[in-house]
Amino acid sequence: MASYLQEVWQSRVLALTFALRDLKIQYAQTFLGLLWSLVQPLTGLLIYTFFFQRLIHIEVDAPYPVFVFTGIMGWHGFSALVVQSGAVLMNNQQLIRKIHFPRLILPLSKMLAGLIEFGIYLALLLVLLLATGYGISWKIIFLPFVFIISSIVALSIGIWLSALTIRFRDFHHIVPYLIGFGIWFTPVFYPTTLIPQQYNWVYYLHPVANVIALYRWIFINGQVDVAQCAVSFVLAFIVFIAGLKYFIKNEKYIADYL
Amino acid sequence: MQQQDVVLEVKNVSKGFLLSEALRTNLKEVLTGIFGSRQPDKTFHALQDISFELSKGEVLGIIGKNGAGKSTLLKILSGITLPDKGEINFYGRPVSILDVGAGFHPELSGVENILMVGQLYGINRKAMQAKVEEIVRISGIGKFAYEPVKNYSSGMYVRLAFSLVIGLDADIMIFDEVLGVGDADFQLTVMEHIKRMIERKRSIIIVTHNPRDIVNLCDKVVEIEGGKVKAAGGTEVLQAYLDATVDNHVSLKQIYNEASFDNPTQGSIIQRVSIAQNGEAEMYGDTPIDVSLSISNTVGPDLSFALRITDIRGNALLSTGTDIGSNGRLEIKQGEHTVLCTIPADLFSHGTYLLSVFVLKGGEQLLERHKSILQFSVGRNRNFPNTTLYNGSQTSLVVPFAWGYKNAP
Repeated sequence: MASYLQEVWQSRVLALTFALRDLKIQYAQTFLGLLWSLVQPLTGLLIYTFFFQRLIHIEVDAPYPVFVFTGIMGWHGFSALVVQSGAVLMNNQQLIRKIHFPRLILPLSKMLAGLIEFGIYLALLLVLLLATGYGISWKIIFLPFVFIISSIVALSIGIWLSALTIRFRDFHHIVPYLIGFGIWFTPVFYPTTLIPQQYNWVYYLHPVANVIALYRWIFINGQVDVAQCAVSFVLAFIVFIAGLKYFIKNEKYIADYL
Repeated sequence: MQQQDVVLEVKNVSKGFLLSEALRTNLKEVLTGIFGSRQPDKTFHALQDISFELSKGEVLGIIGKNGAGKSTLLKILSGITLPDKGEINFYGRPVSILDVGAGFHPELSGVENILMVGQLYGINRKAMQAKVEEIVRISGIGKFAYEPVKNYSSGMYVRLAFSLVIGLDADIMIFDEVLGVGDADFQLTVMEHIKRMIERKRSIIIVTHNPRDIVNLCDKVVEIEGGKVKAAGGTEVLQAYLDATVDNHVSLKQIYNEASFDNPTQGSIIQRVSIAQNGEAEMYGDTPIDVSLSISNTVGPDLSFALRITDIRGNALLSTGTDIGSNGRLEIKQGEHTVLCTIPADLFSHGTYLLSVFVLKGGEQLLERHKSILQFSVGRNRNFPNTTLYNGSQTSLVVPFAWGYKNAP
């Protein structure tokens, strides 16, 4: 495993090349180009704010747009990376059949692509914070750590999925379906204080809920349960390492199942 | 052979594949599949006990029919998949080209693709950036280098992709059927580059199901059949392979010399076909070529013969026949004879050609068809020295026609 990870490290520029390639291809021949990546978070922001603040009046102890946007940022960082890293081997079959290179580069490149999107979301959030007069806390220095934790949480599932989808194509159908529902079980547009006591254990183990809590701790001074974070992140990390092992063990046979 | 000269050892390599029936597993098997060890049961044995060696500067041809296991062997050599048993040791940096243009993305420009695919083959971005200019120059695509490759003509695409392959310049180059792509001009370029690689002491493996492409290239040949090494050795393996292939009774030993075909079928009209140039050890474009047909006419006087000559790529060049002789129709008498056709001088350019013979009744009914039964090579036309344009295999036929002034000065 160590020598394999060394090989991956030597090909790290390749991961960046893939990420930039995907970005370029995504917006090839569009007029707005990269501006399109602002459309999704902005529509999310408008719709959630309209429904959950104007119509349902959810109470939060921060300006609602800022509150919901920190949630969107956490959820999107997770769900996009799970879906994309999960499908990355399927989407690059031609390459995998023809050229030998460390396959782990492919899901990892999706993490770098996620970093680019994260930058776009962050820029929007900063604008939002300044516009609402909320200001930016010194705690922003913890942001890189939270991004890394968030990516590991997503990859802990994404790497398993990418390797499993090759053999069992069922995952290709299940994942977008589950992700579509997942947002309801994650405190994106509602605060965890609304959750009845007997369901709290779900959120205790829910790594994305904890990632969002960290974002809210950084930007809007939200509450963080350190023990809860530690337990869910350690669990996610164990799943991540197991996923890496499974991926590396099966890497040489990926081409056989394509 | 010196041990340090060996650049590749393949020892007892075997590989099987699970058939799709065995892939349909239930949940219990799924879980044991994830957490247990791989236990292939319903296996198709694609390769069994393959061994060979490659030395520095050698060219190895791997031949075999479709489905023989060539592709699986290539995937193993490329590291795309692992063998179930056996081992492979490279002493040097290998690069496998399973497809010309593998890894190219249509939306990226030529230069971007070169940088990306180079990295896929394990060359870092900086080293690739240093090579880009040279690769673009070799490809001759010029200003298109910065256009998305989806806008390229197929010719440009193949040229750029192959130029990249040249730029990769590995110690061991492994090619899959690359000699079959592009037009004749491009294939000539490919050949030249491969020859240059050989001069630079690169080791090369060429996999093909069309061994004629590699006749003049290989030092060593391995023939694979049914996943096993059927034969290994020098070009005599190629000869045996071609001899055994129906419709391909091509004589390779007699290239640049006379060639002949003896019909193994009893009772047929064509019994022997030979091709030769009178009094010459080698054939040249400047001398007439004699095609002799030894025949046994049991049909009658309405029998006729036709010849067709194609180039090595299968392009038909010319047809002739006993019905359209320049000295009138030749009537074929009953019984056993040898019929002679004289192909005039100053017709063929330097190259290798294939002869097909057809037997017709009443000018229409096809009685026998001997497709590509003879391969013969013609040397340059010595009457036209210093005219490289006409002797560089640019066209198969180089013919001196009458030239003059329309109005005498």
